Amino acid sequence: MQEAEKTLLKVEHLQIGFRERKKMNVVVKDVSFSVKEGEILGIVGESGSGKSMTALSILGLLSKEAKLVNGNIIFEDKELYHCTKKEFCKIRGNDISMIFQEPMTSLNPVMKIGSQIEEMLLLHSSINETERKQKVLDILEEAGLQNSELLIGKYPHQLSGGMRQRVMIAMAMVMKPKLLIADEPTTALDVTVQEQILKLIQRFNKEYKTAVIFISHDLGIIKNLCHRAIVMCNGFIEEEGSIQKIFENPESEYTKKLLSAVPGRDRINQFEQQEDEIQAASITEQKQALEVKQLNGFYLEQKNLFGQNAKKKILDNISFSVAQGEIVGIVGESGCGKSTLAKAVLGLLEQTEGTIHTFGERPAMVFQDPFSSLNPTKKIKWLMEEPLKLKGGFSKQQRQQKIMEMLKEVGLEEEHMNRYVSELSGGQRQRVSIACALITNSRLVVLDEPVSALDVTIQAQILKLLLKLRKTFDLSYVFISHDLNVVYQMCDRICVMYQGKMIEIAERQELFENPKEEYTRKLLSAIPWI
Amino acid sequence: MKFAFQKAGTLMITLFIISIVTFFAFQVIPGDSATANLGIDASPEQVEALREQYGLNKSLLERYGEWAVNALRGDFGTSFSYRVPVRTLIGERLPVTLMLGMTAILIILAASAPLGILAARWDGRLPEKLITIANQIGMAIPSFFLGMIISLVFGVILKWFIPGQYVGFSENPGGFFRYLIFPAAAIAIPKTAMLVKFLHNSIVRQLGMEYVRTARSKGNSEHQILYRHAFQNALLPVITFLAIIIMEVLANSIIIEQVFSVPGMGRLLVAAISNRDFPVVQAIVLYIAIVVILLNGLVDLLYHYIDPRVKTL
Repeated sequence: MQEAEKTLLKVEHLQIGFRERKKMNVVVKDVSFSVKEGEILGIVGESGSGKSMTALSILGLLSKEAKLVNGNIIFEDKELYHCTKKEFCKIRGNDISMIFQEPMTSLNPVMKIGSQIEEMLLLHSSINETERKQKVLDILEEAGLQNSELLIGKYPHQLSGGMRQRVMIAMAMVMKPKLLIADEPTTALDVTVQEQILKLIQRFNKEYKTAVIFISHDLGIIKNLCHRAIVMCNGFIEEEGSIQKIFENPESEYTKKLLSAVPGRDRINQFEQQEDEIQAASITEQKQALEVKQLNGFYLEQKNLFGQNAKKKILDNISFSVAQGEIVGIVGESGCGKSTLAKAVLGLLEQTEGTIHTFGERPAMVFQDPFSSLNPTKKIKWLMEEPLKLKGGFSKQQRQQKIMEMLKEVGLEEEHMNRYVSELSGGQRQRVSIACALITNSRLVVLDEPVSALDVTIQAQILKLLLKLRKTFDLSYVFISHDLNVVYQMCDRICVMYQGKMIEIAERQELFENPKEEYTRKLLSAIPWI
Repeated sequence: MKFAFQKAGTLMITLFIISIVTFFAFQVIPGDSATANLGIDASPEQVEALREQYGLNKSLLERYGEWAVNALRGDFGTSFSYRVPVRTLIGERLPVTLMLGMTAILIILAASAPLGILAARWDGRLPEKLITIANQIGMAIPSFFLGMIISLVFGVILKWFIPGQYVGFSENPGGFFRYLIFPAAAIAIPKTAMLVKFLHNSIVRQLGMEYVRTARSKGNSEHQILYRHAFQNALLPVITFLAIIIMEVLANSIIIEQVFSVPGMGRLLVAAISNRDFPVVQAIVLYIAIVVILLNGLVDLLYHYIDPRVKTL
């Protein structure tokens, strides 16, 4: 860092809390940092680390319940929290602007795209209508959106997720602010779209010297995008420094733990050995666990008043098989049909053609979101007992016995039996989901994005658990994920899906080193590796 | 356009079903209109003659067919008790009820929009708390009781109007409205309280949304956030609620017309039911059904207009 670079924003001893009844629950405890002109500063941390609260507090966007307890935020020698409301409104959008995680809900659903961007110009400039319109068109083009003339008349729901985020960025950049705060702007997007959005932010940073505070849970993005980074944990700054220092020479124990939890190519080694054993075993047996042949899957679309239905093809001629003890990964971007395929394998898709053969027990399923896929009004014991009751043939004592065994297998305690889902953490909930799936002795488990909703350290624990369980029970997994890093770490073979078709099936190493399809190559190159 | 056709189609089918239900329901209800009209002292010959005159001796299907064909032409037959065409009866009273209902709705709209916005802007503070207390009271008092209180306070004590002394529009338009405002207020106040509460909650919910956070990050003032962003979104659920309220206004006007002696549809309906005056009852039920269906259609249309997401149907 050169000395000549001026400090743009200074955050000093920030402390933010939530009012809970009469007590103050402090979430951000003591955070100080500064941003220099034109730099990209990354703030990385797991959920609950206080990174988003820190970002929101800069523009005074904290929700009603949250309160800035202590600290100064100084932007260009101006103490933001001592400004009048009017002064603060002049800074927002004009000098500092912000983009958010969910572009769908962050844009006003009943306002046209053009008007939403134009509003910035109305608030912060005095140019006339024709000039405003030209500026809106220009910034949309700059944000990589074609047909901007057509676009300004559209509403947010008419655009794709990537386009919406581009609109958000265009809106944030139209006043050429000195600082852009980006709060997880690519978390809701597919990996190839994410790559484009990151490039766009990088370009605006270079062209307009706009400094960026980039908040993310994804260490790969931080490494590839930022100049400097801050690692946050439990409301404190754990470590601060250049990207090189943090990724190559981390000092804090927490940073080291975080880095080692990230799935990546060089991290495979820690699992490699035990996997080799299993693979060897499974190959000698060569028993099939699942065979899908020429599967077509459809959704019915209500077409008109008279109830004539149109079939929409979601799965197009899919064939693949899973051997006993094998983990087959299915990757693809949103809308490619991977979750529909999971439904089909479980027999939950009504409109299918072709054959699905599962050998042995009914396959079990683990869903992405352990928060909404477990009934919140039931105790864990009830949730785990239900599949056994449905299957039948167990006495009450046998069921009790099985529940206790299974809890131990997934790393939970007996006392968890009498808890409600809301009393468990995300990781514990996913352990319960896994226990529910395995309790009826299913040997084939379909995992639909099982770790996508979890923090990276918890994710690593769940992935380890899945590998351990595979060994214990000789399980086969169909592992669906959008995260190629996770798939790389977990799977023996990988299927790539694109627009309902299975375009490539290969051994893991083969796929990552020698992809045959153009789309696979694009997908692979878009991942921000560590 | 396709939407309008679909709506018209549903309207026709619904009306057809309702016409059948109302027609046959009154055939099953015990009590004979001929005896009800002539009194219990009438001789069997008199009763028989009247039944013949009204066509009550024909088969059910025949009578429904005749009734439906005539109804389509706007002819609902002759009232048993008033001995005049139903059309004339309704023609006299419908404008009165419509005026009463519309005045009530205007009061509801004019009062609840500013109060709801005020409560949302001062959420958790004194103005909102006062409005909420007033709402609780307003919602707890039934319309007819409120009508009695209004009659007592404004009529008997303050003498702003003479209770029961209805002024017709043709005699004295000014007096007509001066009289109507009191029953309308009795209908409107409880509904206003409900709508204020609903609008308040809806705006507060919208103010917690992420797009409002975006609007704030752009440099909008709280005033601009409320009027330019939150209000339109907050209106969407309110529209459905408003349609329900308008229907309740209709139902309440039946009671309030009794309390204030307003010669509208409500009083006609009550009298017609106790007299077994079926042609009148059937016509009024059909009229209420048409109003309800039209209102629902209007709500759907409004949604299309305000919420761009609905257009992708």
